[in-house]
Amino acid sequence: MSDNGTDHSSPLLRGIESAKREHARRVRRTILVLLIGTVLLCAAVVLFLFSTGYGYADLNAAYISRHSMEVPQTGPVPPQKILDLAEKKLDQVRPKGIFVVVDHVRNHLYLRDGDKVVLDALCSAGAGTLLTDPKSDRHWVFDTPVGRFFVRGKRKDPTWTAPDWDYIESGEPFPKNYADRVQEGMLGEYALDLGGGPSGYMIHGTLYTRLLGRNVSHGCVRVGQDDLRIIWQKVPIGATVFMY
Amino acid sequence: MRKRLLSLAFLAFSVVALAGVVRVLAQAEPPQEPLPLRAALAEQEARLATSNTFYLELDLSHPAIKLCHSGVALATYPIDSLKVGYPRVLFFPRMHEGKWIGEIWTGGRLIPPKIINRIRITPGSVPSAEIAVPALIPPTMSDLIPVPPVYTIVFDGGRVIRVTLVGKITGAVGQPDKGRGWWADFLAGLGLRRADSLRISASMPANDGASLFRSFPDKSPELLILP
Repeated sequence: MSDNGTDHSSPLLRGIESAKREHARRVRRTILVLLIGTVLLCAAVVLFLFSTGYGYADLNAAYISRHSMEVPQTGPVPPQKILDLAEKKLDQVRPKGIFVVVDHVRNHLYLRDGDKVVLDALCSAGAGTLLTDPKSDRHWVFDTPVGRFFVRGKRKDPTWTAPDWDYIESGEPFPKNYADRVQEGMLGEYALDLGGGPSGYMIHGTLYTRLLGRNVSHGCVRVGQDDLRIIWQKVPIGATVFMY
Repeated sequence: MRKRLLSLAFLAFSVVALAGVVRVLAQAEPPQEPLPLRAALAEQEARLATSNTFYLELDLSHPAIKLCHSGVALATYPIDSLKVGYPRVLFFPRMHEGKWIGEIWTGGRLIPPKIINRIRITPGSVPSAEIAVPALIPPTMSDLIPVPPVYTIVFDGGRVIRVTLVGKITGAVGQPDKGRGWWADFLAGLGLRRADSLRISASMPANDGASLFRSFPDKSPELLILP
């Protein structure tokens, strides 16, 4: 008999103890296998999830050269001639001399000579508002148009001929005489006409300089007095105006 | 012995000097594309420039997207980092990108599309527009056009540019397209959903990326990829 009362000497009890130990060892091993299996399975799932979908590669010089389009080295027209012809076409279509660029989202007007920016002026472009005439159901969207335009004319001390929408917007009756539509001093010192006549789109001055940099106009491009003077001096009739 | 040391020193000096000269020459003249490729690119550019519409250029060597018209870059939107993505399963690409640099991609459109939250004027509510000074500060296009933090420019043939804006967006912020997350990519990788055949991932400063979104041409622009 031992101190704790177990008789180690009995073969039956020893066998039972050994079987218990063996069972416990098997249980531990099974748990370990399951655990490792689960971890491996999780790792495989994670690896599968992360390695499936979209892979990304750096756009380095080697990649660029590998994926650049293949151009036949020889052909009926020599490459130098193709290049010269293409550059000639580009020269024909590019504006010559000073041109105007209007960013109607950021409300900036740039005078450019090639890539050189001669003037960067704050401006006010179209507000993008909507107006409907309740009587005739006519609609207006007050956007600054986008595309390539040309300076059709230049006017000093320009007058503005108010279109119908101006009266509809303010709720005032249309004037009986056309002459009553003509307003002085609204457009500042100068106006550059971009087409559409006296009520068409223009680059002109403004009375409301505190609103420069915001979209407030009915489609015209308003600039401050000092910038307008520079534009007047530098931009000739026929100059290109890009608006985007 | 001394002679040999001297000749070794001279040799080492020559090698260093030659390396220096080569480096200076390499810096002085940036590597140019071969003439046939330059001619092909100029031809593509001329075709776009004479179309009298807005088009885009993606410059890979000086990463930027340019908005162009008539051969003039009107605005340049710089890119912080560029990567090219392809659908794959267990690291293996499911499609091959092929030769896509130097080509023109057509039919560009934004996803999600650009929405202008226009204000409707009530007739009679504006007391003579040209006389009255508005009491309130009017909104700008940045306030009227919400820009999502991640957007996609999709072109014909499943080619896309995914733009991620880094930093705080000025003006209105929109919701990203929910159908273009990680799960959608996973399904596309497995072939259970239509995959972008080629995806360029571009990180841009928030304000530049937002300006590109807001100024994006309405008439599906074409894009020229410049090496």
